[in-house]
Amino acid sequence: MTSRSRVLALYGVLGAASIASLVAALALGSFPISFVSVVDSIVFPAPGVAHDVIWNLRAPRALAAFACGALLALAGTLLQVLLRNALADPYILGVSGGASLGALLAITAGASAMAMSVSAFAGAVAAIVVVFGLTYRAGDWNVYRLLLTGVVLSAGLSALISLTLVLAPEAQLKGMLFWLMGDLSQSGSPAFAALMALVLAAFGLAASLRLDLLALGELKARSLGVAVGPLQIAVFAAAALATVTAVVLGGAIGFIGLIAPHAIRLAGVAHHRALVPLSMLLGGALLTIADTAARTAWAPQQLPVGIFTALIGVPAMLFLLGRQR
Amino acid sequence: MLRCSGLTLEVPGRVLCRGLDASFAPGEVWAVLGRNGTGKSTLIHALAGLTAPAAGAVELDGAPLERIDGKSRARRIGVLLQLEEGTYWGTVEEYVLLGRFPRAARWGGYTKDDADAAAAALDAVGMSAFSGQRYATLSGGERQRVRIAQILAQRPGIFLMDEPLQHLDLAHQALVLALMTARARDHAETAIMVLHEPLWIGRGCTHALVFNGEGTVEAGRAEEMLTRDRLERAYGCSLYEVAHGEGRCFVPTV
Repeated sequence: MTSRSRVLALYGVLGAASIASLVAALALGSFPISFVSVVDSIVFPAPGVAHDVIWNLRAPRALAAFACGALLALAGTLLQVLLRNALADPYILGVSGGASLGALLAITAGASAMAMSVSAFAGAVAAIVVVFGLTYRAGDWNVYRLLLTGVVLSAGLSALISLTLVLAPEAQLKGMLFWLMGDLSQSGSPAFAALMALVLAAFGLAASLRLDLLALGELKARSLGVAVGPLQIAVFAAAALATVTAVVLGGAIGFIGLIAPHAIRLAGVAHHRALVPLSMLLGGALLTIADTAARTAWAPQQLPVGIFTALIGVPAMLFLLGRQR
Repeated sequence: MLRCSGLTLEVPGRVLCRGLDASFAPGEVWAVLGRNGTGKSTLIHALAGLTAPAAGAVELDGAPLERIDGKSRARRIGVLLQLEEGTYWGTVEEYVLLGRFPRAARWGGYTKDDADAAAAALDAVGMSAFSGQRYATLSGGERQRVRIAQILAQRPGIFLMDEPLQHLDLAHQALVLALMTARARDHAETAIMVLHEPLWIGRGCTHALVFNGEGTVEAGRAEEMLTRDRLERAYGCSLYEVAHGEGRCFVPTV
């Protein structure tokens, strides 16, 4: 298969999977709605219980899941090329650690959901500022120092998170664990995250040729005419923004940011013009399916979505890895 | 034309090159010679505008290199680095196509012309059969040929090549050297190559630049630079000279 037809085939498959995952997210749940009624409600909106359940309860959550997944996949793609490290994921720079600590402290203080989001946001931004401040030197931004600083800061934050968990009253522990494993049931309006996903996808596409060159190393990229310094800062900022938006909305959902770009690469697409949108579609579809499973598998009990991203993603990834020559 | 004047290169605690004046004209093939760590790669980086010299200037067609924007510079100067740090996940063809970036439109991506240039470049190094294969699966020598193809596809006119012959077998060393000398001669291009291979030092190059260590660098025409005396001093080992037809080469005595 030529690389162009492979890209088109992947767009077809992942586009269909994305739509299917969203329709399934609208149809499935404790109030059963048939797929036909879902389509009917999309095409001919008419008031009724099914309409309310679909548009007021399930659609915002489905959109939140899709946007979160897409943002995490984008952040993973950007950080893997910025840090030139295959193991980079959205949380490698301490963003989730900062956000988690912020959220947990807010839960401990008995704050509202809104205050918890603000606190998580503040924690994530603080982590980003610390990592950037400690590593950035104009003209020489060493990505290894950036990577190590992020990893070290994450370790410190995870110790503080453990301490918070140990000292927290038992009644609050479950909420905290949900947050740490990723949970979309508390997510508010997904509009901002969806907008962010579109804006950052546009950035990723606009920078795609440069990202391909950045993967060759800073010197080579510069020799081919890329202004590496500004590009690195822009990529770092975009990845940080994507991660913060996703984490504040859905908690520390693991796995998707690491795996989505690799799955696309294993399917034979490595150039960022296709890798960026395809990873985002895959991440969005995967998280939407996982979230639907998380709220239906053990109904009426809701499970943390992070469990399902791994349960669905791990076998799929192992299959792809095993298939590779 | 690429020219450096009063070029001084330093690394912390050491001067690599002091006050070098040289101009690299179209049609010339330069060998850059010297012991390990004497500053050959640093010179390549400085001539490419990738590192700022401690003193002195590099000019491209009369304009200071640092004033030329990156893409315009990359349309004139192609750089083969000795080491490439990144992991490349794509195919050989995609890798070579990256050399077309300086010529690609800002939002357009690569065109048919770019694909043709990449295919011609792969053909020139005998790697056409590998174009659909993943770059990461290539052997060291195959990778080196593909990296050379990338800067051929760039069509820069001035080639700065840090150890272009590394990892290549004898036949492909000859092919690459013949390719570069023919391009210089027939298309008035310039090649500046860091060479270590004793077989090729005395052949094909019109000029040489010899690092003697401690910051002294001499530049000149090949016939005056490439003498046994001078090279023995530069490398600090004794050599014997082998003449073959019009060419000569220098081999260390063991």
